[in-house]
Amino acid sequence: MADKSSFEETLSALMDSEAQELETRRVLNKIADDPELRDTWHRYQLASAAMKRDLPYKMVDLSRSISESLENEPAYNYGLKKFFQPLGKLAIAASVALVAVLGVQQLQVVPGFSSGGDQAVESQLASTPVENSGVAQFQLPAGIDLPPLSARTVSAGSQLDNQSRPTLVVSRMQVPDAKNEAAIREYLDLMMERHAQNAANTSSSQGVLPLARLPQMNEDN
Amino acid sequence: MSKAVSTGSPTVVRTLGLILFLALSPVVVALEDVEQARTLLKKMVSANRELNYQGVFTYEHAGALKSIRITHVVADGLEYEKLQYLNGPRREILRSGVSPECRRLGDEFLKGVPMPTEFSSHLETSYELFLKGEDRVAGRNVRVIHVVPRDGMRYGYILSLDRETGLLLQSLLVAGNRRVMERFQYVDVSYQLASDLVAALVAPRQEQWPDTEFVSDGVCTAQTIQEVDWSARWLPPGFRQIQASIDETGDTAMVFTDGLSNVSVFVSPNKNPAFPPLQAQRGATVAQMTQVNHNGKEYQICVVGEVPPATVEKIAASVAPK
Repeated sequence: MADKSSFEETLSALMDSEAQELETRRVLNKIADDPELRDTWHRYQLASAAMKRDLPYKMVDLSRSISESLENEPAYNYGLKKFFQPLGKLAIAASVALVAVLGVQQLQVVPGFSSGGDQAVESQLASTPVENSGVAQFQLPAGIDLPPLSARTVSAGSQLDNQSRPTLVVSRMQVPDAKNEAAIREYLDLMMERHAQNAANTSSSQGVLPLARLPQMNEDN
Repeated sequence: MSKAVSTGSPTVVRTLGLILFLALSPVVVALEDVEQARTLLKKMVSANRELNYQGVFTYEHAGALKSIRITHVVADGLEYEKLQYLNGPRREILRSGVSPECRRLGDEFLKGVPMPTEFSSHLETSYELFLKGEDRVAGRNVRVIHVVPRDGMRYGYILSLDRETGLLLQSLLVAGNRRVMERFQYVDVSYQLASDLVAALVAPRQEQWPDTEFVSDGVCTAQTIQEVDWSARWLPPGFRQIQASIDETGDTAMVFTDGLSNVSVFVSPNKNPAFPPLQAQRGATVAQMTQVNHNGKEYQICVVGEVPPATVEKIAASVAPK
């Protein structure tokens, strides 16, 4: 119990996508057999969802039934012993070492391809807490069932021009006054437009994609 | 037991061989996959330019969705392309009369074609390619490639290419936390174009909407690297300069790419009251504005790119006179 608070700290870091991989694993292992910690995690998620106004209208806790059914799942290693019997312990040890060595090399060559193939993409593209917690496991293959587009922060209004306006992130400075802001927006639109055209003219790797990024409005709007 | 080992050596060899085979086969398969992904990407670059196609695609970012009709024609060895924005204010962009021979350095880079020395770098120094099976986009069967960045200084891509033609039918730009920053996706595409449609595009001046914008009208502007006075002293590994020019107003423009992600650097003599340093974002595009004082003159610097904000900021901080 002494390190209880440290687990909660890691949980909190996990929520913010800031937990290290080792920590994550440690806390996930711990969660498996600590109902109290699991409740904490659950609470954090709810609070976060509530803040984002993202609360599901109906909540079902699947975690228990999943771990129970995993418990009852038979293990799949019966055949191995029989297979290795004539070789004796030495051969087993040798081959385990060999597999370990090859396995490690393989990991370095093509991370993630050793099993399934999706992990490399996931471990590198994914570190958000929800996915790691197993609440909503996303495979990210294609099209239809992708996570919603990112920026819930942005689309402030339903007006078209609002949507294609860049969001200004004001950093290390005082807020510009309205007149200056209009000039800044105009300048930014122009620069983004020139960037898009540069990109379209210098490479066709993405076809018309750079031009699709152009703001929708005309400059005189 | 020791007897079993000494007399059973053929078994040991066979078993070890089997284990070796099992352990190595994923590697071999993976290498084949990467090779295939490479081939597909090269095909995509030429398909985007050399095919005739018409379709409607959507572009989605930050909760906004726009749809655009595209017509792309190659006639008499020249490339014509028309984009019509289908919702919101009318906008039409026409790129006409560009020769497919007009080499684009960005393409050469992506294809891994031998380049002038400074382009010795290669897409795969920045990204890792994973072939991800098949899917369907716009009613066409596509091959899916995951392009995973090797570091946090750029975004990843999920590209879906038409299985038959190689055309890019869907592109998702994925940030480090696996959020999709933008989605480009065809809704409908066809490769059979009516001849009157082709004729209209090739001789467009009668058919166009009144507010058509002409871009790169018959000019091959792609490969100009002029001598300019400015440089970016820091770029993420794998990025190379593919364009540098000074326009008539005295503004300097430079373009850098790692094969997929592009960054533009603009430097202009300061005409306005100084803009404060700030960062702006629209979808996946990030812009960073800063000021530099050089020889007693103020210069406005703007770095724009589809890379993470931290990368744009760092590049902007490194822009300096040569």
